[in-house]
Parts: sequence; structure tokens; C-alpha cells
Amino acid sequence: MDPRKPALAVRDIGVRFVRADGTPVVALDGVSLQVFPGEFVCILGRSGHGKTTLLNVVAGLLRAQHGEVRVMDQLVTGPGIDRGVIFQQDAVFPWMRVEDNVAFGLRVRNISTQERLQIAREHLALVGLSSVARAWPRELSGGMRGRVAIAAVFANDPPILLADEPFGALDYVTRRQLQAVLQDLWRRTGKTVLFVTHDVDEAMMLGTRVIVIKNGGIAEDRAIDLPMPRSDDDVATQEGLAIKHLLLHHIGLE
Amino acid sequence: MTFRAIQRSSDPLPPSSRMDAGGRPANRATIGQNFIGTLYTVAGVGLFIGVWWYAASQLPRSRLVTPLEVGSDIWTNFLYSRRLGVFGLGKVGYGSLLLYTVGNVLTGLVTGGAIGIFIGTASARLRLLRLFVDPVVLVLGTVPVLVAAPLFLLWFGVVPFTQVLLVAFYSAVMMVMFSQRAAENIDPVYERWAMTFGAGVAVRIRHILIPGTVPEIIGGLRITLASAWGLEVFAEILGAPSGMGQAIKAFTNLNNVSGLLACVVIVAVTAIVTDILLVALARRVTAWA
Amino acid sequence: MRTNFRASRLLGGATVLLTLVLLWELLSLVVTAKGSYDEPLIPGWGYLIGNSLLRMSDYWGGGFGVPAPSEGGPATYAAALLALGSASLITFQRVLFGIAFGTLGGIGLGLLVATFDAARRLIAPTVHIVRMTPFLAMIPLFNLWFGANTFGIILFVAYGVAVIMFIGTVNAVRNVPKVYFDRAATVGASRATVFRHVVLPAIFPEIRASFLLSFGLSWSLVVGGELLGAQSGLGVIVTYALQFAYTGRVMIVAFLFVIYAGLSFALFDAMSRRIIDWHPQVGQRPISAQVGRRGVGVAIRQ
Repeated sequence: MDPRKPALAVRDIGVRFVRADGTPVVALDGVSLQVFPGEFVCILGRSGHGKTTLLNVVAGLLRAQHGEVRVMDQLVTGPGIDRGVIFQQDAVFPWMRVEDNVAFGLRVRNISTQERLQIAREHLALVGLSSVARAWPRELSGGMRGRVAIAAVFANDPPILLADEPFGALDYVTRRQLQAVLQDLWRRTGKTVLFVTHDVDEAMMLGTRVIVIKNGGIAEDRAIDLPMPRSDDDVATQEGLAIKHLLLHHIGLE
Repeated sequence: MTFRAIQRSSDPLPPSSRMDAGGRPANRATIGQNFIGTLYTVAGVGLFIGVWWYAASQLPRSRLVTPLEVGSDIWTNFLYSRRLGVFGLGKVGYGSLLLYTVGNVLTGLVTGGAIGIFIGTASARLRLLRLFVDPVVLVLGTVPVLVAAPLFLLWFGVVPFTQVLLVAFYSAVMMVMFSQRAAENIDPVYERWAMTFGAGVAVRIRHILIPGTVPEIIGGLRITLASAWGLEVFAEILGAPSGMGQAIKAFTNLNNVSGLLACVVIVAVTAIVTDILLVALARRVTAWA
Repeated sequence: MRTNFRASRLLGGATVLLTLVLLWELLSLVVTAKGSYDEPLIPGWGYLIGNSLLRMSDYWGGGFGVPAPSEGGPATYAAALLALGSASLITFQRVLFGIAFGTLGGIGLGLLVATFDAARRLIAPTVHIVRMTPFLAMIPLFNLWFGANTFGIILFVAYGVAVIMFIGTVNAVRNVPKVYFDRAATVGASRATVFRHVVLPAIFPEIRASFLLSFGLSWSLVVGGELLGAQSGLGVIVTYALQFAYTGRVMIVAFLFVIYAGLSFALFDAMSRRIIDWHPQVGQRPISAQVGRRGVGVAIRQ
């Protein structure tokens, strides 16, 4: 991948909904942005301001009325295997064992059973779930299912990874652990990541760049040049705190 | 260039959770959704009548008659039907027979239902009662209540009580099950919160248990009512002094298809109407749900 | 802890059953009134087994080396059991085929309609009308159209089962969480794959629930169908018995239906639980304590 050409180009995306009572809602108002290969971009914003909508448009799960999205210069017309998604809701299939869930994307690509199970198990090892490869999802905790989702997406090896507030429903410790897992896998594989969150601290810990969405538009687009992997100390430096205050300001807390 | 124009869209949708088997979203939040919905309903009813009419035109008259004929049959025979008089039912029309059937259904449903609701909600609380009620209900719930119909007929004769008892018995069993489940499904946190205010048992029953179980209980009543109709008509066919079931029996013996269809249509329409009424009542009582 | 609960339930059930049996006998001693043909209104257990069951041999037409009472042979338990057995088989057959055809038809049609939203909305009024028309009230119509025989009864049972399964299937498909479809789309799954690996497994629990419902219903429909005009099967024995007000014989058939319906239901319930072992609510208790003992950084389930 040419590091100078954007992996993801969003041009002037406009999305509006009509509510059940007929009132129109403008979810995204002409949003444009470019993401370059290997970046970990956090999309930050309050609930209802459009960040999930933006992610869904990039994922191809939602069609915008206006504008276009290009991935590696290819027009996005729907979901595709080039953009892996980690969903906000629990999307792990309860009727498949853990390793079959991880291997699902590979099965769709008609990869042989032996090969795909091996790849699945490798990825389960990477997220520390080797012992539960044959378990049913209902036997796992929420955090473990989160790891399964991460393993499943990475097993399919898409160049772009989209995540929609995947750790929102988890407790603090589990969230920190999964952030570490995700960051670790990202650094190993060099994927391009678009990560939606409403949590300023999460954005600070994970992102090489943060984009703030406010009222359907981009309010801030800032690189975070802090070291990777990031520790709490790195974020607590003067430079880190300056960024944090900026973000808090855009969010409306300062 | 910002996006400003506001027009009707046909594509994007807010995150909804309804899909069809092809994986495509089944709900659309467009203006005029209600209008399209009404259109579908009208077309759907038209389809039903159309298929019926077509089938009637293709089949012999001894099997099926057109909706129009059935409609006019109902119209002419509603207040008085000479044919039915032959069967010893007296000077009746569909109307008075329907009244008998409706009366029995409602009487049975209300009495049996009340008993069932009481036992059901109580047994959700009192473990001793539960131990006694559960096995009885488990057996009766899987068993066809119909088998009792001929027995009741033998014991009590050709009187309204026979049918009412059957309906009441069935309603009681069903409502015990529904009420139990409704009481169990109330989140315990409500009661705990009430107790922190010093609320006693009576207060908790009145202000938490009863309102909390009403939606699910009414749902259960709907289902029970729908089956109760069939039970009543069936019991009447077996033996009763009056009722739509007797009319159906009469027309079966007379080989009168239009009369038979008329009765079935009347019963179906009445069942739908009572269901709608129950739903309306439910909406009133559970405006908060 | 779990086995204790089960045991207490079984004990409770057995006690209740025993109590009912005793109460019945008590009642039969108190109510000594007799109906026509000298049949007690409340026949005690002795009468039920000694007279009613024995006299079931009246309905045996002869064969298997056991002579028919109607042709002068003695009233024997062998004849009685053969009569009941052969009638039961006919009834079983009707229930079985009715459920089979009804389930296949209902699910098949349901999946078809669920795929095309326009179709679903168009036939919704028809479905509502059909569903609200009481099944039992349709028996005379089915008798008229298809005859009061095995074919007609099977069709009637199939009709009732199909309606329930159809509605259940359509609802189940509509209730599949959208996120599963989205996930399948993002890995490039074809419609066939989505159908086989998402829709079918996801709807299975709800379909099973509908099936259990229609299982119970099908027994009612068979009883109803046989009581109103059939020429063979268990229900017919009731019809014959009713003509002479033989309360005892009606009760025996009633017991048989109760046993058959209950047993088949329990059997199917147990068998089908295995298949949905994966389901959070229906499957066995999670073994979460064992899971997560090894592995680096694996969160222990709270």
C-alpha cells in the first residue's frame, strides 16, 4: 500500500433521516476526511452527533444521500471484506462455537476447514482465548466475547478495520485489557483503523489521530504524537494534557 | 458544499432491528408509511376476498359459495331463520344464537380467568401453593381440554352450564400459567425499592404486582379468548340448547354450505371484534407500557 | 441443588396425582347416582377397570386370534386392549402426519414470505383472518370438503399446525437482530450463506417454541376432528360411548389422550433440548467456572 495515498477517502458525505413522526434529522452534514495507511483514527463525539452514522457509511451498511467514500480508490457501494467491522452490539453468533465464529469469515471465502481452523486458533492464541476455542459463546463473559469479535475480524485480515464503540458495555478493567489487545494486534499487523468512541481517555490511549464529530460535522482533526504503545504516563505529559483539554472543550465539558 | 435540501428519501435508514430473511431491512422510516400500510391492508383484504371468489367460481356449489352469497345469507337470516326453526332451536336467527355463544364465552372466560389470575399470581409468591399448583397445571396445560367436553355433557346435560364450565376450566388453567409468568417477570428491584420506603405487602401488591402484571395478563387473555371461541363452538356442536355451534350442526346435517359458511364467518368476525376490544381495553389500562 | 429441586417437583407431582386418584374414588362412593343404561355418573376405579376397560372389547372387530364380542365371543381384556391399541394407532398416525405436513408447510411458507417483505404485508390480513377463525369451528367445513376420514383429519391437523408454524416462523425471522446480518455482510457472505448460517440457526429456538405449541394443539385438533364425525380412531369410541352414556368408557379414552399427549410432549421437549445446547436460556448451565483458568490475561468470569 502506498503510504502517501489515502487508504480511506470520505468526500462530502451527507446523511439525513426522517423520524417516525416526520421530522427530518441531518445526521451528517458534508463530512470529508482522509485516512492514511497504518493510522489509528479515533472518531470522538457525543451520542447522537453522527459518529456511528459515519462509521456505518464507511462500512457500507448505510447509504448516504450525498457524497462518496473510497477505499484504496475503490468506490464503496456496500459492505465488503476489505473493511472489517467490530460492532457495538454483541455480534458473536451464539450458535457457533468460539473457533467457528473466528473462522466464519474464512469459511465464507471457501478456505478449507483445516486451514481456517488453524488460522482461527492462531488468532485465538493472540487474544489469549486458546482454552475456550470449543466453548459456546454463552459460556463466556462479555469481555471474552469482545476478544472473540476482535480475533474474528483480524483472522479475516482486512486492510481496514472499523470499530463502533466496541468496549462501551464493559467494565473498566476489561475495557483497558481489550484496548491493550486491540492496540497490540494493530501494531503487529499495521492495519488502518477507524475507531468510534465517546470516551476521551480511550481516544487518547489508542489513537494516532483523533477526529471530533459535532452536530454532524468535523469540529477537530488532531494528530496525537505520543509514543506507542501508550501508557498512562505518556498521556499525562504536558503535550498529552493539552490535547486532552482540547478534546474536552470540543466535547462540551470545558 | 453542505447538505441542506430536505426531501423524501427512499434509501438510508436509522438503525433499526427488523430484517427480512434476505437480510434486508424490513422497516422504513419514510413519510407516508402509514398511508402505504393502509394500502397494503386494503389490498390484503381484497386479496383474501378475491381468492375466495375465484375458488367459489371454480368449485361446485356443494363445496363453496361466493362471499356475496354468504353475506346475503347472513343479512337475511340474522334476525330470524326459518331453516333453524326446523331443528328445534325455536324462533331464532343468527343473532340470538350468536348472543348465546358470546354470553357463554365471556362468562366462562371471566370467571375462569379471574380464578386463574388469582391462583397464578398467588402461587408465584407462595412456594407451598406453587408446589401444589405447578404439577396440576403442567399436566392440564399439555393435555387437550377437549376430552372433558363429552364428560361434562354426560354429567350436566344439554345446558349452558356444560359449555361455560368447559370454557371456564380452560381459561383458569391458561390464566394460571400466564399470571405466574407475569408475576415472575416483574423485576425484583421495584419491590426492593418500595420496601426501602417502608411499603408493606398490601401496598406492594396493589402498586407493583397488579400494575406490573397487567400487560402480560391481558396478552394471555387475548390468547385464551381466541381459543375459548373454538372450545365453545365445539362444545355447542356436541350438544347445547342454542348457539352458533348448534347452527353449524344443523347446516351440516342439512348439507347447507352457505349457512355453514355464514356461521363460520359470523364466529370469525365476532372473534376478531372481541379481540380488538380487548386490545383497546389493554391500551387504556396500560398506557404507561 | 438442582437435583433437589427436580426431586421435590417430582414428589409434588406424584403427591398431587395420588391425591386426585384418592379424591376421585371418594367422590365415586359419595355420588352413587346412575345415568341411563345403569352406568354410574362417577365410576370408581374398580368399575373403570373391571367394567369400562373390559367392555372396550365391544369395539374389537376380531383378528389376531381374539374373537369379537359382537360376533358372540367373550368380553376379554385382550380384545379390549387390541381395540384400544388399534384405535390409538390410527389416531397416532393422524397426529403424526398432521404435524409433519403442517410443520413443513408452515415453516416453508413462512420462510418464503419472510424473505419478501411485500408478500408478507400483502397476505397479513389473510393470515390474521385465518388465525382468528377458531380452528375447532372449522371441523364441519373440513368434513364437508375432505370427508370425515383419516385424510380429512390429517389435513385439518396440518392446517392448524401450519398456521401456528407460519406465524411463528415469520416472527422469528423478523426478530433476528440486525447486527448478525450486518456482520455477515461485512465478511462478504452470500444470501445462501446468510440463510444457512445466520437465519436458520437464529430462528431455531423460536421455531421450537412454536412447535411445542402446535404439538399440544395438534392433539386437541385430532380429538376434535375425531369427536365430530370420524369413523375410526379413539375419538369414535367416545362417540359410540356417548350414545349410551357410558361415562366410564369416555373417561378411559380421556385418560389415554392425556397420557399420549403428555408423554409425546415430554419426549419431544427432552430430545429437542439437546439440539439447542448453545442457547443461553435453554441450554445447560454454563460451565463458566472451568473456562478461563489458563491463558495469559484471560478475564475470569465474575
